[in-house]
Amino acid sequence: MAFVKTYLIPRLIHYFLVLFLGLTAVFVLPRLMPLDPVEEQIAQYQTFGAYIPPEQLEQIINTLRELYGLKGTLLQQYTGFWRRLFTGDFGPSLAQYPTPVSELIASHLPWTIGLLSLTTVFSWIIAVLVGGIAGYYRGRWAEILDDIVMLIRPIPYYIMAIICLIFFGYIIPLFPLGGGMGIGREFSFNLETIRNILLHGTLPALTLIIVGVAWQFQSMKLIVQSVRAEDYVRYAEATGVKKRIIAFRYIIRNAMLPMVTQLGLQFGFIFSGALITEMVFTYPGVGLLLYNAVVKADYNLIMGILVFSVVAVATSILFLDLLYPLVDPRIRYK
Amino acid sequence: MKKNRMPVLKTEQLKAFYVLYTFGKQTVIKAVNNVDLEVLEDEVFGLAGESGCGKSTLIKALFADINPPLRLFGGRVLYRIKDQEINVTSLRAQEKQKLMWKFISYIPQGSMSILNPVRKIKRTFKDFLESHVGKQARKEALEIAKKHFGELGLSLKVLEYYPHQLSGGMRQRVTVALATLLRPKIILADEPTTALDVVAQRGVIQLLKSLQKRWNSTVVLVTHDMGVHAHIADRIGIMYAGKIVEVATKEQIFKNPLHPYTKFLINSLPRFKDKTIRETIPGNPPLLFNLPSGCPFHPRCPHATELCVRQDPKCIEVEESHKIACWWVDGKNREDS
Repeated sequence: MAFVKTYLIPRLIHYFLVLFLGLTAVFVLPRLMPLDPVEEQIAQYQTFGAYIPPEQLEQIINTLRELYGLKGTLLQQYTGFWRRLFTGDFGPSLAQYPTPVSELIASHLPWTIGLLSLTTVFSWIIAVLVGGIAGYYRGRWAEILDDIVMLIRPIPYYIMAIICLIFFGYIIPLFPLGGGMGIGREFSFNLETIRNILLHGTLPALTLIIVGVAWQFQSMKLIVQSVRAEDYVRYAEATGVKKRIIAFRYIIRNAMLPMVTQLGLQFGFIFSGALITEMVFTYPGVGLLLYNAVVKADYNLIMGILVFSVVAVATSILFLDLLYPLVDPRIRYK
Repeated sequence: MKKNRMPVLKTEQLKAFYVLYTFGKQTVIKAVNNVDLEVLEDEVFGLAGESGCGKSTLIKALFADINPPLRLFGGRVLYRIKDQEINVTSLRAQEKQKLMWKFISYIPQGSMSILNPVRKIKRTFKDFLESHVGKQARKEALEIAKKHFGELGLSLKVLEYYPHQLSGGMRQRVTVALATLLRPKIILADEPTTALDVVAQRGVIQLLKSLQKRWNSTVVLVTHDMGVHAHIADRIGIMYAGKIVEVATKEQIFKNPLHPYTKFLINSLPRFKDKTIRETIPGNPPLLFNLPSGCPFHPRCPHATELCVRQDPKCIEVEESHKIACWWVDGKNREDS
């Protein structure tokens, strides 16, 4: 098991080091802010004109410090932070008191994962196939496709999302205007509910796929252009290997490799949600949750989501590294 | 040497130039300029010449692999298939595709990188077979490849490897195997031994030679290594500045070179027990986009006359199986033609 000893273990150590540093940053960064969240909270109460007697104030401050994990010295806070991480307890949400942060994330995560994993995979596959074929054959249609992509590419995503929403949600009301499923609907495994969820997800998914395909199409096309100049492609062409075989087994197969890296990285970002998409379509995912947490200064929730995101990105890169030899046999772990 | 062999590959007045545009300025590089060449069946034809004289371009043109910036400016490339001469340059892509690799095959320069790096050798063989043989043979692709490897004396294990797992010499042999899988009548080999050490070189050259003997096929071998030519070529063509300046049998070229350039070339070769300093050709090779008038060799030629500056000599037979393009032959100017 030379692989385990020389590659896997050092790689895992590396992984845990990244997690440690990343999560420490999650702990440190909020504490570097000039604002004290507790005082902010108290000030907020007081602006409403509430009179709080001093002994009560002391108690409130203590309770709040406990909630925020700000009790004790920095070291005590830090060890407390790790203890809470390992038990999966991020404390209660401050804005939606007393629902625990972990519960909030757990209820929003499936929406985000469902939406983003599908759109990420779909737009990747479409971009790799269409970009590969268009880049290799370079016909009239490929030029038209290229022009269309050139038009879509510079449109900022939020404008694209709003245009789609107005067009397909309002002017031609094909799809609902927002939400993850119909209001008042309980989740259950029946055809009607699933249909409803898909209907709500279509528009956000569509915008994500359009934008995702557009930029990945362009990068795929560029990679294809350099692959088609490789000796093995030129030789296969010169010796009369069928174009179809060259397109799929030589061009797309080889140009796909950098795209796989891109896909792996994108998977890591799924867990932080699609902020703008979820805002525009009021889709109940992690992005929307994060947005609300930021707006309402829900520190516990922000930290919970950040922790998730750090772990997800690091883990997906770990998986990418471990799985890469499956797609590129030249990669060997010494 | 066997007599009365038919030319299997022929070019007539072949002109293939590179046309480049840099900042709107057009540059024409005359890499293959008016080449008349006849390659006979069942022979090894060696093509020699210094770097940048158009050897590789000629091979590309022979294989009808003419892609921009390379363009055909005139002339024809003829293959003789079943006693019929076919002009490949006018064939449609589909018809050409049928001939390539099956009738004529090509081992390109730097052929170490012609194998797809992420496909196993056997998969590459399968891809090539799939495009060229019938449905039945497709299923037997692996068997065909195995049989061929056996004939060539290569280890069958190699088929299971990826290109990067092979040594340079092995990879080169695999490319030879790939190029000869369907027993082509003509094999064009462009510097097949470059970047190999002499031992591996010998292996590759012997492999080519044995294939040629076994199947009575024709090999056109490009290399600037005169030692390799002496080793396996039957006839040798000497190229200079995009032209064939001398064509003769190996013995004639080495023992009795006639063209001044060939003379310089042969005299520059080291010999056993001869410790005298080798003479080099004065001057530099001409730039192919700015050729001198008349005979392109005249600025460097010690025998150049006013006629050489004015007019380009044709390649003419001066003795049996010996053609040269020079106004000065055997010490005197040729007044005829």
